Amino acid sequence: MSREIPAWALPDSRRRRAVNWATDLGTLARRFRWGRPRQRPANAPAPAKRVRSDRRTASVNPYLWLVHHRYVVQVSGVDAVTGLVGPVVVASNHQSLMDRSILRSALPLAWRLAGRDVDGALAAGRSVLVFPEGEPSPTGALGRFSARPAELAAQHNLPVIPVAITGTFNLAALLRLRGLRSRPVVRIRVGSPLYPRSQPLAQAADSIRAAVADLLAEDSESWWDAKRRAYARATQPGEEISTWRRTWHQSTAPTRPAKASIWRSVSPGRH
Amino acid sequence: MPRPGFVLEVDEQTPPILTIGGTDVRLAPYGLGTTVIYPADADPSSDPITLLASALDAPLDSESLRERLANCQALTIVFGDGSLPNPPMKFDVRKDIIEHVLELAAQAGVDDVALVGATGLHRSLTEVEFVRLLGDRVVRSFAPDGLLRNHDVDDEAALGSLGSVEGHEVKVNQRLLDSDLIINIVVRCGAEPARQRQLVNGITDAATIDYVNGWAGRAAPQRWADVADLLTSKLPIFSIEAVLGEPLYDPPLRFLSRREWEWNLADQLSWLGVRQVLARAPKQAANRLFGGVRANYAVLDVITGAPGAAEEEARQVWVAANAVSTAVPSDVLVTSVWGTGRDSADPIGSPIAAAHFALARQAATQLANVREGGVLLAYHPLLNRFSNRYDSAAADFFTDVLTRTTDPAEIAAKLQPSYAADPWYLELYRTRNSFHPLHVFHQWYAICAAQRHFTDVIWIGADRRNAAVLGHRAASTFADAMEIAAATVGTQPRVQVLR
Repeated sequence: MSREIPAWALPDSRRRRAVNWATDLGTLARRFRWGRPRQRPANAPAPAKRVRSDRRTASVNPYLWLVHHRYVVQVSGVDAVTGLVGPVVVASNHQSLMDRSILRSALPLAWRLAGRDVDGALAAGRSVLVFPEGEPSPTGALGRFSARPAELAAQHNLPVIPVAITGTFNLAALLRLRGLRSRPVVRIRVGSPLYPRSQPLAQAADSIRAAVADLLAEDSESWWDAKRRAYARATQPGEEISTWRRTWHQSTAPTRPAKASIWRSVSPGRH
Repeated sequence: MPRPGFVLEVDEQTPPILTIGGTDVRLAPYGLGTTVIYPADADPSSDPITLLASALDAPLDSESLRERLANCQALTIVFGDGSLPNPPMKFDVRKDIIEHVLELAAQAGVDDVALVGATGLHRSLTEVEFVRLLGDRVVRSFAPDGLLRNHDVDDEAALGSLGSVEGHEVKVNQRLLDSDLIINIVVRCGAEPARQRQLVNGITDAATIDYVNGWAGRAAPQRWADVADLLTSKLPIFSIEAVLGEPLYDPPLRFLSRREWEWNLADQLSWLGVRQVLARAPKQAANRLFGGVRANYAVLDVITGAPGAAEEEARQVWVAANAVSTAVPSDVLVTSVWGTGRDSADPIGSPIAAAHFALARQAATQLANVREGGVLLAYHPLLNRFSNRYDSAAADFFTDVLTRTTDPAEIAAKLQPSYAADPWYLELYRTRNSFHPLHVFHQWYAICAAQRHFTDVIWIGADRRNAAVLGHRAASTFADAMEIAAATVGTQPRVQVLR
């Protein structure tokens, strides 16, 4: 069983096709008149208003590594707000006076986070950063939340982005120590946007606090576990609970280790 | 509301039309009277959550998702393998939908949740692709516990029997049999008829996929309908279908989304730069440039409900928004071939991936616009390039099988059984994210089925030997190809170009 491939059908020996600038420039000059308005074909429809992609990528601030050389800042969860453009109200827990400057330099540039003049910034179309706890937490635990972010969101019809920051508690004192072999790590976790404008203020404040508590809990458990627990109200994530209880909730019964294989698994596995 | 698609008739005012073959992004002049089919204008990406929330409250032929989740103990979310749309989405709508569904499942207190990639014979998704598709928090929540996985069509331990169709036993992923609710998330970006493609090709066993897609299965379309009916009647499926618009590219590829006479100077210079860079880039760099292309897609609608009703409704929405009707069938159909996406690990495309794209994906959807016995002209270099890791079976198929015979019936009877059972190919499929060995056979059958409509398939700018191996012809330029086609369609054929 074999086919006759014609003898004259030789393989193409050219490595790449000839494409030169002069010919292409000539095409643009002759057929496109260098971008000057040209008559459209007879049966072509009229031009439409130009559109621009408005679901921009909310990426981590590119200046982050320039600003923070004395400590490491890790930002995660930005993909949950992909495409969201400002203004937004960012609501974060508060552990240190350094929180504001670190968050402003680490959160996406597209949000254009403003300083302390909240109302002026929102009127100018910029995003704002609010600490609903008011003052830095003296113990590091999550405190009571005011209704300020929910109020701003309702007033200006904006989403609230819950953010959790850890690692800044006592950071200023840590940075004064000399001879540390590793740099302190600050973790920032960004949550999915909340739209609290249809809720009563007290309820909205509770839901924002619950979202921040979930993000804090993600340091020790997955988003799905935190989400389920939040709805089940089995425990209050972010509250001070005993270590063994937290560990007990996270752990599962031990399983037998998988049989050793000569094949290194590349894929995450199949059902 | 974007401008709808339309059919342009080339006149003296018409500039050359953008045509792409592999890495060659050229402006091709066509003769007066040639018709060019332009798609609808593209809209920017949009947030699907508002549409999704209202669709979930009004599902077709089904209770609302909240009610179904309230009685659910074990939930499985099935999503596609990412081969559609082409090019891939910059903001994957499935991530938004899956996060929203998980939020509802958490509210309903569903503890047992798993996610299954309906990859079927396609190469399985890697961890990096999972993160890109689903976002890091979903992957972090489910992957470590083995609750986020690709479907394996050959893993007998993970397959369970669903029933039989005319004596053929249909097996599906065991996780689906153990679930009391399956949420099937589909991206609709074409006008294919309602056939539950994602379920039939994605979550069944290799024998069933071959039963409906093999050469014998192609001759008996009832097989597909029977398997689809069995799946939708026996499994508790709730479908969520997102209907997408046309791709909108960001700069510097913005000129791809615009009609040539509306290009401004920036678009013209972008075309010039992209053409020159791609022509001079080494193979690896060109692959990276092509593989990295992402486009914005507007979500036109989200339809939810029973699988059959939701799929048909989504198809009708897509047709109403995107389809273009032509008046007179043509003699010659001209198509670009590029961005073969996940059909090949090489985004520029192997000869088989290029032929599958031109015939099974482009021409097969336009058969009503071309007369029986017409000619297909396609732009592609058909270079002999296959990935050793992902396309090993396809490379051997091209060099060993097609040089012996191109007859699909003979291939199916004599050569397919040994290839499909080859332990090396199966090992590559199961552990190295390669395509299943059956995949290339099914591609070839689809190519042959579409090819029967045409007298000749002529590749412009292609390697002559590789075109001959495929059983096709090669020409250096469009004019040469028309000279060859004149023997079949005469010297004054009606030519139609797919833009």
